[in-house]
Formats: sequence, C-alpha cells, structure tokens
Amino acid sequence: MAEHVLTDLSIAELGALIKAKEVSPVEAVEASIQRTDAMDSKIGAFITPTPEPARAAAKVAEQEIMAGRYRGPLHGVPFALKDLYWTKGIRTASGSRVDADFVPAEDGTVVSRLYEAGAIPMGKVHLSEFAFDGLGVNKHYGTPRNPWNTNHVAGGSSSGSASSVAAGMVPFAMGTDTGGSVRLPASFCGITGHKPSFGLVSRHGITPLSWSMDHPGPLVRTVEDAALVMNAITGHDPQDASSADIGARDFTRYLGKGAQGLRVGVPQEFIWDIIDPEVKAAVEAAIQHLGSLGATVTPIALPELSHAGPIFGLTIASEAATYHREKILAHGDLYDPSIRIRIEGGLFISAAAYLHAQRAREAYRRAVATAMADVDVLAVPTVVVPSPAVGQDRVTIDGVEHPLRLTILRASQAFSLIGLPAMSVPCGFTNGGLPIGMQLVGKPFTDDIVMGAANTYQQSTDWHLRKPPLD
Amino acid sequence: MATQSEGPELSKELFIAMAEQVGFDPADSHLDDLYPEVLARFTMIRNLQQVDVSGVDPAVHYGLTPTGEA
Repeated sequence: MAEHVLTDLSIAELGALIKAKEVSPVEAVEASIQRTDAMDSKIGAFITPTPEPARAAAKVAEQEIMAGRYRGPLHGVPFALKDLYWTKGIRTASGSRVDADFVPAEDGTVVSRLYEAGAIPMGKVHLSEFAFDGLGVNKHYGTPRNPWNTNHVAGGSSSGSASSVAAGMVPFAMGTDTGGSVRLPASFCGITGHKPSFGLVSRHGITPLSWSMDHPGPLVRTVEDAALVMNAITGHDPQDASSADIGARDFTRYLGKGAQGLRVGVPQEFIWDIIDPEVKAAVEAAIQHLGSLGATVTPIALPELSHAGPIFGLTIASEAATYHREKILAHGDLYDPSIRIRIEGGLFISAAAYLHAQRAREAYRRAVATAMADVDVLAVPTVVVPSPAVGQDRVTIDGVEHPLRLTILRASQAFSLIGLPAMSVPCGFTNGGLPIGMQLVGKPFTDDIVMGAANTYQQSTDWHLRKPPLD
Repeated sequence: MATQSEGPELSKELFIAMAEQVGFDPADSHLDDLYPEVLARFTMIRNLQQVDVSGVDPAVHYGLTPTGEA
C-alpha cells in the first residue's frame, strides 16, 4: 500500500490491516517516518523524534503478530507523545529550558500501557512551556504551526500532538488537558480530541501543571480511535492518588447507539456572549444536526459558567506555583518571561484564598450537576474563535477587542475545572479555511456516552475526513 | 494591611515585602514586571469573594466517584 495512503488511515483502519497481516508494523512505521521527514520542516511538531527505536519496535511487533501474538487494535500503530510524558531513557524537557536535561528513569503509566498495547512511539512532540499556554507558543524550542494554515498556531498546550496528527505524521498522539489543552488544539487543527473524566487516566509519570485539573487524553482523527486509545490507557493506578477505580469498561460500546433518546443540553449563557460569528454559526448548525439525527436538544440555564474562569485561574496559579517554587526562585531566568510571571503570581495567593476558590469550585460543580440533571451531554463550541495567527495576542469580536489567551479558554476550562469528560469533534470551517470544533460534555465517568454522541455526529458528517492542504 | 479578600489595592511597598517573604530578592527589577500580575490575582480573588459558598466545603479531595460526587 502506498505510504501516503497509510498515513491517512485512522487507528481502526490501520489496526485492521495490521491484524489481517495486509500491512506490517514495519511498513506503518516507515510511512510515518517518511511523512514526518517530508512535513515537519513546515510544521515543527517533533522535539525528539525516535525513528531508530521505532523501527526496532516495529520489527518486534511484526514478529509477534506473525507468530500469532496479536495484542489488539493498537499493535504496531505509530503514535507521538507530548514531551511531558516521562519516557525511560529519553529526554523529557516539558517544553522548558529548566528541565532540558531531564531524562526519566521510568516510563509513566500511560506510556507503559501504550507499550503493553503494542503501540509504537515515534518520538516526543512540542508543547507550551510546562503546558502553561493555550496558544501553544514556545519561545525556547519553537511554536508548532497549524497544518491548515502555517501562518496560524496549532493551539496548545498539546501543540505538537495536534499538529502531528493533523499533518498525517502519526495516527494518534497523547496530550494533556488542564484548561483545554487537548480539546483546543484538536479544534484548531481539525481533528478529534478527548479529555477524559478526572481520575480515569493516570497522571503518574507526567510533569504536572495543576494536580487537581491535569487530564491525560488522546488526540486522534476519529471518535472511534479515541475510544480505542482509552481502552488501552484507562484503569486504576495506585501510583496516582486521584486515580478512580471504576472497573473495566469498553469505550466503544455506545459508538453505534445513534442519537435516538440522546438528550442534549445547550447552556445559554456566557460561552455564547463572546464568540466569532463563523464559529457560532457552525456550532449552532452542528447542534441542530444532532437534533435532526434524533437527539432531543434543550436550552438550559447555567449562569454559573461565568464563575469558572476566576476559580480556574486561582487554582492553576496556586498549584503551578507550588510545584515550581524552588526551581523558579533559583532559575527564574531560564523560564519564558511570560510563563514565569504566570507561575510566580501564584506564590502570592494565600491558603485562605485558594481554599475559598475550592469552595466556589464545589458550589460550581453542584450547579453544573443540577443543570445537567435532565440531559446526557452538553453541546457548546470547543473554542469561541478559530486558530489565530502566530504572534497574535488580541482578538476583536463584534467590534470589541479581547485578550486572546483568556478568550480561547472560555468554553473549555469550565469543564476541566470539575473533571467532566469532554470531547471536541470537527464541525466546520471558516471562510478562510480554518477548522471549527464542537464540544460535547458529559457527566462524570460517562466518557462512553459522550463518545457515542460524538460518533453519531461524526459518522453523519465528513468534516473529520478533510485533509489540510500540505502536499 | 491589605488582605486578599477585601480592602485597598495591594501597594507596591506591601508587595515588595510579601515578595521578600516568598523568597524573592526585594531589589530584583523583575519584581516590577511581576507586580501587575499579582495585582490581577488579587482582583480575581476579590471578585471570587462575591460567589456564595455558604454551607459548601472546599473540594480539596479532588478524586471523583462514579456517582460524580467530589
């Protein structure tokens, strides 16, 4: 099979060919290497590509499969890791200069589970410094570009994860999402991203940004692929104090359920107050489309959404400052000045202020739970604007200028703050050819229901099948 | 003395004193850049005081259960 075709395949498609022995993992890895060699000078997704270990792993996978030891749908499938996932013997810089020489002595839990599933790591990809920037800007190592328009950002903080998948270098990549860092770059790059329920995927062996809000999650081409990755990486982990033990679950189980009986709530406040008109039209059309497929779409009141920003801001600043305190006081000059200040600001937040924020967070969680009592999922935009140009830091909407970094998080931080499962799926394009994403949000640990709803939408549209104009 | 919940805006002098307690060199010119960020945080804290949290314990044990309770 021609290599450019191999790199267009989803995990499910490629995995099926590998299982049938029609494609070897060696061929899949070679196609990924060649695509990366051809594209990454334009995109800048990889910080540490590992082609030779990938070739060796592919050979082992091929031998296992030929010997009848097939591990499952990820066996022999290439993937990339955001460079804050700890990888034994491979530098994990977390987008920083201060950790530029950090080589972990062990793999993190997610990495180990992907290896056990037979997936083949193609290397580490870029991120914002310590994952603390939604635009994906990295002043130390470079800012990955958006495959749909390389004058625009891929979004962050999982910038390399999203751009590598969108550009066809790998079928999937792992990211992390604290305020939107899986969903936001997925939306900007026209791919699918899933932020799992908090506690569902272990944080062990991932450089933290905010302990109570960090969520590891996959960036993929299809909802089905997200479910396949979730099947491999979930499960209780005693090494993560917040790991939930909900037993085994097949995240593909509702993919074919359809929209009949699905109850979709659409919060009317806050998120829609500041929104690009093209994004608004595309997401409204997508929600209407879900209705046309049989879902019941209901407007719901959730004015408390406006509380999420300050609660999120104080929580992330306090937790990041606590983690970085010693390093940043000793080596502050090694940080990007804008990231440094965001972290240092948290050192001035008192314990009383942090705890007040956690009380407000619990009150907010209860309000959202009440608002969602009679619906299965919420439907909102993933990001209220399309991908901005590289270097842009303000955005004008309806004649009013807004700070870009705060604006892009309006629709995503509201749900990571309280650990809800949330998925972004492509739902349209701007007239300028930039992707738009719809976000579906579920109740705690209903990731499978969210995926069922998202898959129903995705299978009746073709937004996810479009390819960026790179070739 | 300004508190984080109410009262006058954090003065530069008080900010410098707090910075020294936190571990910064009070003579470091970097503090001039940091001061506006800390003011913004204090404003955020004051705004959040408007949220009614009476009868609500803080969500400090942040693991969820399958029923969604924190």
